[in-house]
Amino acid sequence: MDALEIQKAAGLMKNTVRVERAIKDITQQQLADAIGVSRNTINSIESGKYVPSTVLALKIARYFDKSTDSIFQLDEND
Amino acid sequence: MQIPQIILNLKPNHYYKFLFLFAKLICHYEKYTYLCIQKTKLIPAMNNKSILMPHTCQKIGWCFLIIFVILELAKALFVHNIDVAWYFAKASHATFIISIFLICLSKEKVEDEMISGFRLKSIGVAAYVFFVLFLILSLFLELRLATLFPSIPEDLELYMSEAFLIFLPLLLFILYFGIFKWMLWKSKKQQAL
Repeated sequence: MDALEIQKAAGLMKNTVRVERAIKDITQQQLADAIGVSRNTINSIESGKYVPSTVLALKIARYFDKSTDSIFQLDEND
Repeated sequence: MQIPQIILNLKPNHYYKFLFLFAKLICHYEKYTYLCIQKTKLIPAMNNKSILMPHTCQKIGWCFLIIFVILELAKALFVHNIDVAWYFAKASHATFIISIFLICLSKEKVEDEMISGFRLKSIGVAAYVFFVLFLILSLFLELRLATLFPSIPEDLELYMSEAFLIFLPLLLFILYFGIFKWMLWKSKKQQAL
């Protein structure tokens, strides 16, 4: 069972940024500084309030060395 | 007013020609303006560059706002001569305009895509609110609705038309910035919870 399935089972979010961050053991601020956005934006992405643009999603995926698909997935409502 | 003979002699197809020429002129003008904008690289979508000023300008703008408040307070408390008060009013008006310009049109500390989304949304909301306020104010002034209410003093209308001229253009900026800051504050508050 991978991280995305756990989250889907819990019904919490549409992306695994928070989980990936926990695996890499970095704070929201560190991730924000690394990809050049504000901490507020990272928090909004993690809680599903803001859907990032393609560029930002790709940047996040590249930072975690994963494919974009494994981090961001379409919601049932989308 | 007498209509010139040349215009009376025109046949209908001449009008179309004029219309066509006019449209062509406008098109050329549009094309020229577009080229000018393109050359100066003012279209942010084309080069992905923000046209906002750096964050330091916002700090300078707040300083100007403080100067405005000090000038207004000084005018109200210490200046009794009407000529001196006029100069104070002009100076405070100028500082207010400069401060609003610097505060509203400068970047945040970290300017990212979510913040530009907030900017876009707040411009939309500000346009709505501004239009409603504009409509109410113009109805109030144009139809002289104030005369219907005897409790409203007559001077108020004069003051309002003055405020209408001086502060209404700035109100759009103030509304935009207020709504933008409120959106940022709301998202930061949700983050804290």
